[in-house]
Amino acid sequence: MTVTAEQKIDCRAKVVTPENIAFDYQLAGPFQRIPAFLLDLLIRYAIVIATVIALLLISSVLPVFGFTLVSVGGILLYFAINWFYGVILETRFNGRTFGKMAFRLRVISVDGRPINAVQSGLRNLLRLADMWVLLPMQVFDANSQPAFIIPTFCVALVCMTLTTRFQRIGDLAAGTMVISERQTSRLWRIHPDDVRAYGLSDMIPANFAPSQSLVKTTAVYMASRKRLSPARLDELAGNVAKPLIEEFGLLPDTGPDLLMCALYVRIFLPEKERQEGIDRYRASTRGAPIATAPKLPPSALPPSAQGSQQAQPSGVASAASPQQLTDQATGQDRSLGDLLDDVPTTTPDSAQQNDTTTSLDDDRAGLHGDTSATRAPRQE
Amino acid sequence: MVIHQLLVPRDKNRKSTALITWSPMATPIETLERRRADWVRLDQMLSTAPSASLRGFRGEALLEISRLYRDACADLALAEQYQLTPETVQYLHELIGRAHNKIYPAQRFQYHTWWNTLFHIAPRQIYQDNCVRFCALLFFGLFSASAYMGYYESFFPDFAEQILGEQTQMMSESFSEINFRSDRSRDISINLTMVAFYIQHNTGIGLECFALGPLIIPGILKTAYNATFLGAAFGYMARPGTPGGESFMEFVVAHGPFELTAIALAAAAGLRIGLGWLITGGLTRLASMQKSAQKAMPVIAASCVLFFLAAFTEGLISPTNLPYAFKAAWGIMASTLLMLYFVVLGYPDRTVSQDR
Repeated sequence: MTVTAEQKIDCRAKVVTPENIAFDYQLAGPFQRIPAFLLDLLIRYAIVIATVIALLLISSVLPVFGFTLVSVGGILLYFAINWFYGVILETRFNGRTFGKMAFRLRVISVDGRPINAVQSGLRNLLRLADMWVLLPMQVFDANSQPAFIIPTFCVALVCMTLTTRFQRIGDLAAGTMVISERQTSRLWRIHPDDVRAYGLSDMIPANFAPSQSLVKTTAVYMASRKRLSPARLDELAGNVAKPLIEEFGLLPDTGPDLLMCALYVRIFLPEKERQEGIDRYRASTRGAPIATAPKLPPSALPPSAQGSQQAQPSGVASAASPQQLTDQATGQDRSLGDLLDDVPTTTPDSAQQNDTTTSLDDDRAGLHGDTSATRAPRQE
Repeated sequence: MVIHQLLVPRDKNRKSTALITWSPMATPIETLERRRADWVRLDQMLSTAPSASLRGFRGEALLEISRLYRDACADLALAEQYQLTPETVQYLHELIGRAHNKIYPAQRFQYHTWWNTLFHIAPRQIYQDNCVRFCALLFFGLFSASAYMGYYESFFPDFAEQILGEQTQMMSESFSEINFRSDRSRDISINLTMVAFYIQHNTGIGLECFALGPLIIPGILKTAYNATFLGAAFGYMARPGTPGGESFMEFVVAHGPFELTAIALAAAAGLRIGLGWLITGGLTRLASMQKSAQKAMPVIAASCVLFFLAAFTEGLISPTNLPYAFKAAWGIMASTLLMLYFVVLGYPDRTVSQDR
């Protein structure tokens, strides 16, 4: 199993299952593992202390054994837990100790197979080497015993930074790695909050077949859209959208972010939902003079508020600026001449074309945008 | 369709909803919606599983989880083709990873291989391993020298005291309290506590020597320090006038051979891993280190068995009021057995080596 550069950057390791399916594991770095280690340490001491207290109780009830039971039991248990806690738990619980369970980590072989008892033994017994350099107690108290007992884990940290799979010495010797099983991704679906995206999606030529990388880019863009400011969104989307705007024959000042949303609607959403969105878009624009449109950041429109326009303060941040809306609207206006003698209406919405002029234009532009929009630049 | 038959075996009892049965015209979101129920169900089964492996599942549930896992694998294989969003693909990676770990659990301790490891692989490895030779020389050499220097107070005044520090007092005090020939009932409690302490202390030393071995120099230093310390303790307690000296000798004679040999072997196993990292023999450093770790495992296993035998002796024979002769005989027997183990079992099998 090799780690490619891409996987290295993403901290992932590829594993091929017996079903011949390759999937990626998320590797766990030192800062995911430290909390698990500390929890294990706490649990270890808690077990020893609890047992000693239990033994004290037993020995007070049954004075036959005296203090021997407590001291012998305590010492042997401390020894066993200190050295074999990880070995036994990782073998018993499929590569996990209690701390790893709590933090959703697991130890597996580097080839993706589960670890065996030998590997578990090696990596756990060698932990002491990873805990080096040990510092003396005198760091805190000059008068204390010169006992080197404070672990710094320097060896483990340096080793992890030098290996591709965040392995410490114990992991290297045993051929294991620690992976995170935290389910970070959710099965979600995004609905663009901007209804104009649905309208614009209809202006993308019907024969446009997005490439694999464009599909991915669109999905990633939509997933990270909420985290970015409108200006940054336009800047990022511009790289992809500008050539597309040209290709689709849209007006040059179409909002790049809006086009990405439209692409998303076109590629990812089921046809039914897309149609509903387009209907919503028409309803929201119907009856509204173009002049008022800029004041309506449609991102503020809840999907339920179909057609009901509420004036918003112009300062409200939205995915696309009011200016873009005007441009888009005027763009469709300019293509009206073409539209009127263009494609016959075939959709159920055709009856609505007899509405007021402005909304009719808008409506038609939304419906047959691909043809009209491609002609728009030629008219200029 | 051909791919479908290859990936998902036909099963008349179920209605497959795997991705590959859907029309390629479906948009990614439609696909996701159709498959979501299965994925969520698999997720749920994994989260509520009663044990770390599939043991908790019976009958129908076992069939169901296998089907869900295979279907999810098929979904992932075709994710690219079906243009699932990267987020969904990531979800599938994580889901399948968890399922995979549940379905293929860790190998338990393979008890039946232990015999072969202990009586065939380990002695041969010990016999021919230069690290074992080096560590045995280092450990027993320093131990003997230190014991000698600790014993001859006139030639090396204060040597033992400097090495042992306050331990001299503690040791002679604790062993002065023990009289193996006296009434047993009074001493047994002190003895057992002390025994428990020595077992954890000495085994801990051995495991430390092993664990520091991969760092090479700390491992060697740790081994050397322990050899010197133990040697000085022996030498000091063997001095004619030391209080508790006789009890000490009677205490250590039975388990000493096992315990000291175990420490030397543990140190050698650790050093073997460290040398694998340093001397690669044409392999990558990592591969060489892992190969050495494989070689070192039988040695550390043998060492652990010796520690166990030492602890057994230390708990059941050393602290009792059995006659000294019996304890000495036990010690001699232990040494003889070790010799036979290393030499007779460890002597290279020519037929095997020629085959290789």
